[in-house]
Amino acid sequence: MENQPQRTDGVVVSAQGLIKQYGKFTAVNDVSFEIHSGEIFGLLGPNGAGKSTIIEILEGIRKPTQGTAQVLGYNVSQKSAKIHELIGVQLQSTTFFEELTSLEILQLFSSFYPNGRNPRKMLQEVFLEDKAGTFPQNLSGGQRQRLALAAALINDPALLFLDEPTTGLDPQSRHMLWGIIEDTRAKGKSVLLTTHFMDEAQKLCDRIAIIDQGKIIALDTPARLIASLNIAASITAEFRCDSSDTIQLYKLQAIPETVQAQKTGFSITLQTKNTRAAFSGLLEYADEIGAVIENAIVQSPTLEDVFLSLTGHALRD
Amino acid sequence: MKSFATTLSASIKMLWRDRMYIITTLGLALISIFAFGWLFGNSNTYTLNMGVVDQDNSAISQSIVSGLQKNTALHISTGTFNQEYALFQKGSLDAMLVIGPTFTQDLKNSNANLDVYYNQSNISTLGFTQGAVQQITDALNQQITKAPVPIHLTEKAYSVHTYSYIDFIVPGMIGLMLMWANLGAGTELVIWRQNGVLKRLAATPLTSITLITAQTISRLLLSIIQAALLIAVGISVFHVHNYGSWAALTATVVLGALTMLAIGFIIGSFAKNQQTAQGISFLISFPMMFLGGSYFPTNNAPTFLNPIIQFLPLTHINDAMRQIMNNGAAFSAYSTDLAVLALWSALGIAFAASAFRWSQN
Repeated sequence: MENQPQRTDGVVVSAQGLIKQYGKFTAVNDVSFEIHSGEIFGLLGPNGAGKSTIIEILEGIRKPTQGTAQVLGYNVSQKSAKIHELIGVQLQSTTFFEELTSLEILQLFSSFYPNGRNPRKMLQEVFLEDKAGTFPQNLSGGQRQRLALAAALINDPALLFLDEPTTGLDPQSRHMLWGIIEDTRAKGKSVLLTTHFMDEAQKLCDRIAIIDQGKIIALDTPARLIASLNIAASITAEFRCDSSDTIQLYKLQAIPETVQAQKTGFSITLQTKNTRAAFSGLLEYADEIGAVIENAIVQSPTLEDVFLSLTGHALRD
Repeated sequence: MKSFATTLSASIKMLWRDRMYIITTLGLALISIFAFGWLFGNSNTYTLNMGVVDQDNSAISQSIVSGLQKNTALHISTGTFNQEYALFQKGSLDAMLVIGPTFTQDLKNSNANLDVYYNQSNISTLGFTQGAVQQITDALNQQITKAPVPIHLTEKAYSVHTYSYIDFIVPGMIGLMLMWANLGAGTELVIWRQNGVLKRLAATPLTSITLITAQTISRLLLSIIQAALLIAVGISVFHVHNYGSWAALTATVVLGALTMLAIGFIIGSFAKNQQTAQGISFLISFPMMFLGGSYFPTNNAPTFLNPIIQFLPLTHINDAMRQIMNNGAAFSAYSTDLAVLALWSALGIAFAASAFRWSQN
């Protein structure tokens, strides 16, 4: 069969030592990972971490400076034409021809593939059947993203690439898009997505590679990444006192069972191995400096905490 | 090919929906035709005032003069060189033809010359005068070379179609429109690259050749329709004629449009953004608009400009179209022009295809 993925023993993407340099700037610095058949794999990291460059190398539309990658068993730098028949792609902020309607755009994309699917059915799948005659510039941001997803799914791809699929979307559109992505996995497809949203990565992804400054700094399932932090909770609270200078960071760090403490003005964050010990420590310290604690929030640790503990800076700096 | 057919139909739809573009390119040419048509008159066809000086006074030279006198598009005055030259200097003559004293003798040696003087002060008639005289002398030469002596000059040798400035302008405006409409293809490519449409297409099995071919064919169709509209206006409103073959005219329009498209695609491959692409298109089209001979003939431009004029593809589009429409000339009269255009198209498209890029980096 010509138009089938190569036999790859359950590995749909294999990146080995990818490096991409723009002049002296290294956007991607020695990145290697594998994606298994049927999983949603996430590249998580802040803007400018190199996520888009990695995904575009794997899509065969950008050449790596060094390193190789196999996608569905084909080498990206040699067989990109073959790969393009088998993959579905949604770019970060996809733009379409302004003079073609939604339906005409999907008809055009469908014609590119030997197994192109019915454009009207695709519109139904992304809940845009009533927008068939609408030009893309008259669609809302969420509708445009769904149209882009329909174009990405039109060849029934074995592997779907999604670059920041929900950036700039309202919550309703995000959930709708998440549903479509989960349905795709349910059909046995593999998905590679990039995101800078912790909740999105945590909810959707089977495995995550955390990227910072062009490097993978951690790679595992969301649950194991969080478990590796070895903390019970993250506590956020506000101190009410005369001056924020009276709050001493080293005193917070000295509270028993504390993993990491942070202070921003009157607001403090404590990552702790023991929620009870942290709270009694905080209350004692508040009494000591004559402050009152307000708006205390206890959260289970998230990927945000993982990123913070790995890099020392927050994800959305 | 399913993908080619769909891409072509999408390309035609997009072009058709870009009304602004169709209207502005066609509008500029139409406005020029109407403005010049009304300014220089359309109902009064032009009569060429030509002075003929027969210094040879032989049977052959006399038959040339009497042949010329029979042509209704020509008003012939005869006299001595000094008489005619005085008229010419006063501006009463558009052209002056001198048959030298040794014409018959020279003819026997196959080395006969006719001296022609043009009145270059009236640009609206200069193109016509040159065309008409050229045709008369061409016809004479042809007769002479076929059968050196005796020469039987037929009526046909002197047939000059009645001609006015509008006959000159209509082909010129078609050339101009072909340039304006097709150079813009490059800007469209740049916009698609800038906004990421091409990057998305790069991740599909669509090839650049399919995309460019579809774009080319849709724009050629538009050019043919636009040219047909301009000719229709010329014929119905200003009684312009096409004395040549329609097939030759269509071929010229297609080659001309192809040449301009190829240049457009080259601009599109190199320009980084829309503003640059439009700027380069303007820099290319502006000198061509004047030096390409659309509004006035460029035969009498200073010598240093000649290489530039001959380099410009618009010159060859206009020349070929006028040879066909105004003179009904034989293929040999415009074959060089078409060859130049074909060369421009072939080199341009080959170059543009190799320089094509889907994304900025």
